[in-house]
Amino acid sequence: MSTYTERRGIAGNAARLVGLLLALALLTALVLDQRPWERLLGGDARVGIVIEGQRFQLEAGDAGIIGQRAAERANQGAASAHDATARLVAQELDALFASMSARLPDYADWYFSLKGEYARLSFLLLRWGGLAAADPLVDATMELIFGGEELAERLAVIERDVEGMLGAHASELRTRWLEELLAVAREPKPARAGSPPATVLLLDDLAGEFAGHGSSEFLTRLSASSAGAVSAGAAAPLVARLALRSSTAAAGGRALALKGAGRGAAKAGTAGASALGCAAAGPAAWACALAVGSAAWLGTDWALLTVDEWRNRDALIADWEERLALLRVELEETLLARYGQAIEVWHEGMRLEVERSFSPLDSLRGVQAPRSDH
Amino acid sequence: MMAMASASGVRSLRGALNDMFWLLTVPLFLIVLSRMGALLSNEAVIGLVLGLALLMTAGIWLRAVVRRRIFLAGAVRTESPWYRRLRGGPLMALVALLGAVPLATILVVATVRVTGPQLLVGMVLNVPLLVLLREFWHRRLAGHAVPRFRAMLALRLALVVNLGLLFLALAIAALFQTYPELSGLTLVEAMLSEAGRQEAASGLLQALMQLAAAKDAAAWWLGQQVLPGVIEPGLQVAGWMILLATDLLVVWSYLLICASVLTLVHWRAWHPGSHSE
Repeated sequence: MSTYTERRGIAGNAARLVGLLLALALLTALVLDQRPWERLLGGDARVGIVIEGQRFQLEAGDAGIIGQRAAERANQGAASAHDATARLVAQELDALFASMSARLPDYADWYFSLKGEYARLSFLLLRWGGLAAADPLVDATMELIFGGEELAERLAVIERDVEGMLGAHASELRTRWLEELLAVAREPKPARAGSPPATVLLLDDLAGEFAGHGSSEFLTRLSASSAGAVSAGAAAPLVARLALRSSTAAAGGRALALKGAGRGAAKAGTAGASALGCAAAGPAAWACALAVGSAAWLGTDWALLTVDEWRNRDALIADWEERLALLRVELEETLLARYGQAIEVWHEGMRLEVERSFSPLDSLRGVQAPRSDH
Repeated sequence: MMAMASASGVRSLRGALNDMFWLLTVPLFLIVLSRMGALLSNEAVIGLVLGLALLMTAGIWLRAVVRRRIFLAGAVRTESPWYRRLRGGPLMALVALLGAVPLATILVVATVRVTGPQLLVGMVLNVPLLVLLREFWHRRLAGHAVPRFRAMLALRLALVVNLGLLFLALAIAALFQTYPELSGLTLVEAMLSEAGRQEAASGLLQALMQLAAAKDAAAWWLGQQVLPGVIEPGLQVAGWMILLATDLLVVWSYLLICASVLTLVHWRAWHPGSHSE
């Protein structure tokens, strides 16, 4: 009898043990599997969105769409920022270099003037004597073509214009994205209206990043680079290098120098010949010879310069047009590289912020959080 | 003799399995709470917290009574009127209830906020562990403890060991969890950001969840502050300590409820009685 009871007890315990193991497995499955809960709680999971102090609720699928559109908007925003920057920089540089080109005739006038000639000659003498450091040719070039400090000022203006344009662009991007978000949400309802959402997306950081105030610090980056007038700083060595450039123009320069030497020989001969015409004797004869010689030298020099100008003026202007075109290309590359880098950092910041902001959607079944391709 | 011992073993195993079945209602209830808690109204949340606190109080009170009786048995004459006055009554239950209310609140908030499966799976798997530990201590104390207090002493020891084990398991699981990236934010931004994600139909529960989320964000933020040149990882340790302390409170609250369920199931057997021995 006791054995029978014992057996019944063991069988009962075995049944209890199996039941317990099943119950443990069932409870673990209830924790790990979402599906029974979704069926029980019914309907599509709802997602809360918090932006600028407002709370909205929408279907999880719609939240996924908003995320995808935000990722697309970030890509489009960065691409259009690149385009708009390139357009504005090209437009402003066109205007700047047009005004510089317009000054080239004045520069040529100076170059083929006695004043210009003797400024260059005196610099050569001073440099031989080790007395000159600055190059008057560069100074004159800076003054006559680039308008002295005007180039730096105009570049600073371009930087401010680009910065303002990109700031407005970022602000517009944020506004458009918000409009799109509200259009998808259609009829925003207060979060308390129904059941609490399965997850909540906080989009203030993303809105800030779109507007350029986010963690990539796009606008700060832009204004910091503009305040330092980096382009103007970068332009100065480029200008100096171009002014002293010894390529085709310098070959022309050498030709001009040789011509100048020839002119000197011709002038010396003319001066000597003129001095012979001085009939006076004694100290007056020396003064006469000096005055006549100088006048003849200058006269001949002027005449030769005029001939030289007639023959080489167009070549000089064409050479400088070429130099300016080169400078424009280099400046444009420098500016676009810098803005391009800032825009890329911003783009990356927006991309990461989209992923981070919408990552809670990953926990919801059947909803794809945006993954912007990069 | 052998047959009697065997029959006793069968009965003891059956009792342990029955206890486990009773205890499974606790994680089942908490799993349902974790899914439905956010839908509850203010009144339901208050009722739930009070109900859980009352349940906890049953176990806490009975253990306090046993502790008091042990003291009285050793220190006070049974004929003294103080023996009767100090044996533990409504006042002791009220004190236990006051301690149980915050613990029940912490458990409800932690359960509704739970995101990963670690805590709830840990609670489910802990059910057989607690019962086995209690059985273990019950046998170990057979030759040492007074029979009248033996069951509650075994439960008390099992609770302490179980607290250590479950806490350790959850702390190890916490090491492998992923946490939100907060290193680019200030502490206040991190706390507000996490608090803003909390949603519940009950305003009261939402406020409590926001407080808990802000606390978690503060801990994560501290844990993510890597300052160059600072060798001593003081901030990280502080962050971890906050997280671990909260985990400890949650685990303790859960174990108190389990202990209360066992206490209610075995109330008659485990109550030390009003008589003196």
